[in-house]
Amino acid sequence: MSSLLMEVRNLSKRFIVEEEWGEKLALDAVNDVSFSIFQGETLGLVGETGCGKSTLGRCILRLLEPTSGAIIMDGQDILRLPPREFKKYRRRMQIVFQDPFASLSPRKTAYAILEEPLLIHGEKNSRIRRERVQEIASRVGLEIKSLSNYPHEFSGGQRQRIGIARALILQPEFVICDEPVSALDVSIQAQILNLLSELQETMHLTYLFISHDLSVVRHISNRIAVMYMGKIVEIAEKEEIFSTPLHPYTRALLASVPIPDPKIKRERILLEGDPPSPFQPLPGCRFHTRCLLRMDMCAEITPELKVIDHGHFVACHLYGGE
Amino acid sequence: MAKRAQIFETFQVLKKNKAALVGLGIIVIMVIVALFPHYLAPNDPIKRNLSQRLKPGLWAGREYASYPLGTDYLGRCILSRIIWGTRTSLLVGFIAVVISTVLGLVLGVFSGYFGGWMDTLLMRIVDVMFAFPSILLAITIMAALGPGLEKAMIAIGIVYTPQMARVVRSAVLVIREMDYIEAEKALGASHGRIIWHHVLPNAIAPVIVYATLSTAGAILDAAALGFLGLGALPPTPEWGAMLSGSRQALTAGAWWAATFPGIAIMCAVLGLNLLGDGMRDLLDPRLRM
Amino acid sequence: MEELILKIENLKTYLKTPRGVVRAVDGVDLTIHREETLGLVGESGCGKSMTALSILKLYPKPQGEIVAGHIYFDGQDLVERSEEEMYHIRGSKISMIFQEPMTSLDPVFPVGEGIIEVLTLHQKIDRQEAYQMAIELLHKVKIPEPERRMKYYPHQLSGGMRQRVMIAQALACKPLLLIADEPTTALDVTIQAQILTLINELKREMKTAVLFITHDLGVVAETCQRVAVMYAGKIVESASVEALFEKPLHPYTQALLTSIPRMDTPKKRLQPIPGTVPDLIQPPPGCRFHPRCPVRFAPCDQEEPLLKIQEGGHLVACHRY
Repeated sequence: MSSLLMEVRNLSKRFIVEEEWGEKLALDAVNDVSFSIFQGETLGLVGETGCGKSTLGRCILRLLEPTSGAIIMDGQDILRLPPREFKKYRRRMQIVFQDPFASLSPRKTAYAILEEPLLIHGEKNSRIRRERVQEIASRVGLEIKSLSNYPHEFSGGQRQRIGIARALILQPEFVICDEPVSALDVSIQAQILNLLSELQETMHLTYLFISHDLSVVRHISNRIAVMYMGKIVEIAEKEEIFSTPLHPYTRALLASVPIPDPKIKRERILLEGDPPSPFQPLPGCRFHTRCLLRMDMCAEITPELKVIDHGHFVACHLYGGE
Repeated sequence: MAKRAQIFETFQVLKKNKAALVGLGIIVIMVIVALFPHYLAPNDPIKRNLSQRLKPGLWAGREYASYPLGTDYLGRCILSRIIWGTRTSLLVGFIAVVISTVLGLVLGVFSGYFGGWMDTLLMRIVDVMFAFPSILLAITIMAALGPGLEKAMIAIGIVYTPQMARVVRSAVLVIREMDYIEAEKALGASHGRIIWHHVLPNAIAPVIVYATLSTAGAILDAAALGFLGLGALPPTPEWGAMLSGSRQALTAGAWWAATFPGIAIMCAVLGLNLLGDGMRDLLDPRLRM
Repeated sequence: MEELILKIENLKTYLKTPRGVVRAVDGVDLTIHREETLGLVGESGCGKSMTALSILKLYPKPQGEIVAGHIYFDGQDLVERSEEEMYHIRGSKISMIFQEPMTSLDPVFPVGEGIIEVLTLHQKIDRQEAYQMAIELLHKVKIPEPERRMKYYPHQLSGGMRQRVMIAQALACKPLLLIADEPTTALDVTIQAQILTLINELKREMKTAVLFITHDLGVVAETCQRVAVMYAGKIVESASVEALFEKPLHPYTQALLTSIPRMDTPKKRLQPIPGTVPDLIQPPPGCRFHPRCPVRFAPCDQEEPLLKIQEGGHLVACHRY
């Protein structure tokens, strides 16, 4: 396996939400999460709405300040760095957003949007800036002459290309892709997914690919982490997760994805009910209210993420029991 | 090139909105009048001619042509005073709105972008200011500053600041949550850069609309202060002061002394309101495809 | 041959916009048999939702207008029906569920009220009876504790629960046709699986035909019997689900199937469809897919291909057949 890029240790993010009558509620969006990201890989992070996957991504980039935990890069905890020193890390870590309409300022031309990162990082020579903008634009498949257009003059797919170019112009090592194809049409998704794969190879990128779409995650990832209500419940190599999913939630998730082939008749694992309220976390495993294989201890003891097989981690009392 | 296309497009949209076009027409005429009163006014607006007091205008017959809209109680030409008063009123409206826009932008951006206790504090102050009727607040400020046209501008500017701050703040609250602001943060941009290059340009549309509409209000309030004798000092021609000075004239049957300044105020306010509403439509991205 | 419940002929629904006339639905032919589920697939903006709204005459007015065609439903042409007559058809004989149940349920009424309203509007029953039936319906859509949930407001329910309420409301009068417009797109996959299973069960039980609109080919494969593929305002192919996935004929359908990543059979590289979806104000001449088609030839940019019948009732609109 390649070398370690980043290690996330016991990361937590708690939001305090103020209710109407001044009553404060705590929401543990990310709850004691630990994992590693290796150089050059794509780690897929899947989970359903509100499971905390986007919050986790934003905490890693310090777009949100985590409540506790550490992120180790180059042997130091980047969460403890003062803002001035952290700015060096900013250019090494970038993000691509889901909504190609909200992620580009409507009053800037594509050129100005792509030039912005260079200006922020002090590139004073306008000729160099022009060259670099043109280079990255052609890499992501944007026509140079279209760069004087405003975002609303581009199609959704083209806008997403601008978003990718903006993230890559500083030549980062690590890119968080937060649902980058979810807002796009089916026929455009493939263009963007292929582009991301190509760029990963040519620019030696590491991706954290956040998505709710298991088919997309399977296509692009090397390893996959499954999240449920703020916790990672399983991490493994891609093939391993799809061939031998261990956590009951992962299994239900996999069985729920419709497959575009009427000949394949699978056994559906239908979960009961909805996820419980995130504001009143239950003791024990957070999945136990919907789990088909729950045991008595599941409602009492929170399972730890344990290694089961080489590189296969799962947080469930069914495995590695004492 | 893109700029020019944008201006062209703007004009295209504006052309379809008849009301806004009328408003724009009125304002353009008023600005021209305000810029060149010495060419347009038939008489000296300040010169008294006591032998010609409260004379009617052209409607009474050809012999009155030298004062087309009649004279006031001091025998001054009403048309000339209205024409010179345009300059005063537009200037008061404009300066007052510039003051309120600058103050409102600073306060609104700070409280919207940073939030927290500062936001709470600023917005509570704004609430308190809202609790006063605006003209009463202006009078109170004038009482502290003393009378005079410049003081009136400052007072009206301060009175209009809270609403402007609200408008800016609500725009900023929306923009702050956009992904492109998050992208800037991810790139390591400073707060100053984000506010200056990204928040302000995107918040400017509602600010322009509100500024246009509040210019109308400011002109009205300036007239009211003038009417109360707190604005322009005599003999400066000012619409509100003209109205106030014609009170006795009305009882003497000289309706023209009060009517024409009143119409001038109405035209200015109407023109600005029509233009402001038209711009609101224009700047709404949903309406321009 | 089974009996047809819906037959759409050469339907054209146009929308006037400031930029020009959008030909959202431009000559659509479609049939649905009794008790059948027909999938209508296509990308956003291809006109699939507008087709559904045309059936109920709920397209945006006054911008939208049916400019040509017929919609035969249960023996009568809906295009000819007045607004008054449609009022009695909607919700009783044809009902619809939408993508976002939050915006289609009235936030100021308890969810039970909506169901009671539909029942008392279309059936001659009193409120007491309707109340009991509503509880029964909520029970049928597997909402736990239906008596209690009757009094809940939409915002107090989760997305999945709201969609169940919508389904209960839509099926209250046992309609002949249920139009489901992306009913699971806003939901998570585990909830989606629950809702799809529920729609299938209820449809069988109530003998309702379903027009299932979606962009997700996986959902089609798992829920529909027949499928129609729509591109730029037209139906380009229609067949039984087995035939379509086994042997897609239209180049667009073929391209769509090879461009999507699949969870069961991973591919090294996806084959994207070049270009973008055409502008429906000025659609390309000839076959609308020809600018993006890998196998276009002489007549494609001139002549418009018509839907032609192939082996096994497979319909395709392509010059290659």
